Amino acid sequence: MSFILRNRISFIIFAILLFLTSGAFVLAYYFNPERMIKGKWVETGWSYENIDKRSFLYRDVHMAHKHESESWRFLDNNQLHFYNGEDVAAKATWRIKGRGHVLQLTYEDGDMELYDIKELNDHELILNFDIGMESRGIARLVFTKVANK
Amino acid sequence: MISEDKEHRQYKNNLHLAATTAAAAAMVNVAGVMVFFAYTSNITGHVATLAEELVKGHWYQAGVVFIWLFMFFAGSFLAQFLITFFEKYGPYLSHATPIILESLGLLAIGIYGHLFYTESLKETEILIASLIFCMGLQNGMVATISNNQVKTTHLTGLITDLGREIACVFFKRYRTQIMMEKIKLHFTILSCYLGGGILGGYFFIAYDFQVFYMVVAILAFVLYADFNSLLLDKSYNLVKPIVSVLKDDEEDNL
Repeated sequence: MSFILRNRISFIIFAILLFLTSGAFVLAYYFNPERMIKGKWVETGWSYENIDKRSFLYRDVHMAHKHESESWRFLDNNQLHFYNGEDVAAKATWRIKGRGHVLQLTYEDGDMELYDIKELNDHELILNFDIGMESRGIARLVFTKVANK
Repeated sequence: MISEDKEHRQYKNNLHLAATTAAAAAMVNVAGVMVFFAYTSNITGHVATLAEELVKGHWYQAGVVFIWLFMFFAGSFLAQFLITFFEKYGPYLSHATPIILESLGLLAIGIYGHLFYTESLKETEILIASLIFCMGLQNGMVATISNNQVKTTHLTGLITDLGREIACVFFKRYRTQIMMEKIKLHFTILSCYLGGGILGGYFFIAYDFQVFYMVVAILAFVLYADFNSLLLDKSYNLVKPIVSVLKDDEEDNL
């Protein structure tokens, strides 16, 4: 430590790295996706993209659970409730992986789905059904937040 | 593999080091993708992701990727620092130190993942950062030991070199033994990386986080192989004077 303080260049490098790392930690805490996703979201759009262009992808789209629900509620205990009106239509467990860009849903029957989180802020959630690391934009779900709990 | 310093290294030292560490890196990378959905041994993509997340204003993701990039840098920095710091104790100890540290790191990740991982985002990010740090450590160590001849955690540069080298083979004046050795080295890294990746994926499906124990076993083999030969050399040096005395006696008797 004393070596760093004695050497001016080392001190500057150390200070910059410390500043950047601290800033990254603060930002990471404030914009935490696990915090932002909690609450009730109403589905405002559900569209299939690209399926006419590449037929072999069509089969993969049907791997997704057909969501008949109108709204999703992400709860504190990693539970996800799918609502049809006021009734809970289905349940799943949610996890966020990667750099906060992958939503993993595990249904009660053990089926697992992966979604690419394209946008997540305090008002809007956009998910793309993910069929692989390199294939995106197949099934797109758009949500608007209606409650924080 | 690791007991020779830069000046005394032979081709086979680099070849063996490259084969083992490439397989280890691939196993870590594939396991990381399967469990965390993030690459842990190649970071070029993370730089592109950082730029993309900054442009989109996704500050959280940008912050996380920045820390990951920093961890690779920190690993490489520490590898070089440790090797230089322990230089006075001989090449084996100075080269072994980063490998021991990497092994301990991977062992800790394996134990934590196997017994305590609850799949929270914070845990995921910390474990990815730790894996990236271990890979930075390994890449820095291998590059330093081999005098920049070998890098085993990513293949972009390697495939570029391989393409250039194979093009050179078509011209007789470039078809030298050195060139053929380079091609063999690069093919070895490529095939060991692929093989390690397949094995890593297979064992991850079968044994989950315990796959990291296998990576630790590979690194332990790297440490043991040279330690063993070093012991043999030292033992031979101890008995050498006695052998020469016995030989002299035999010659006198004749």
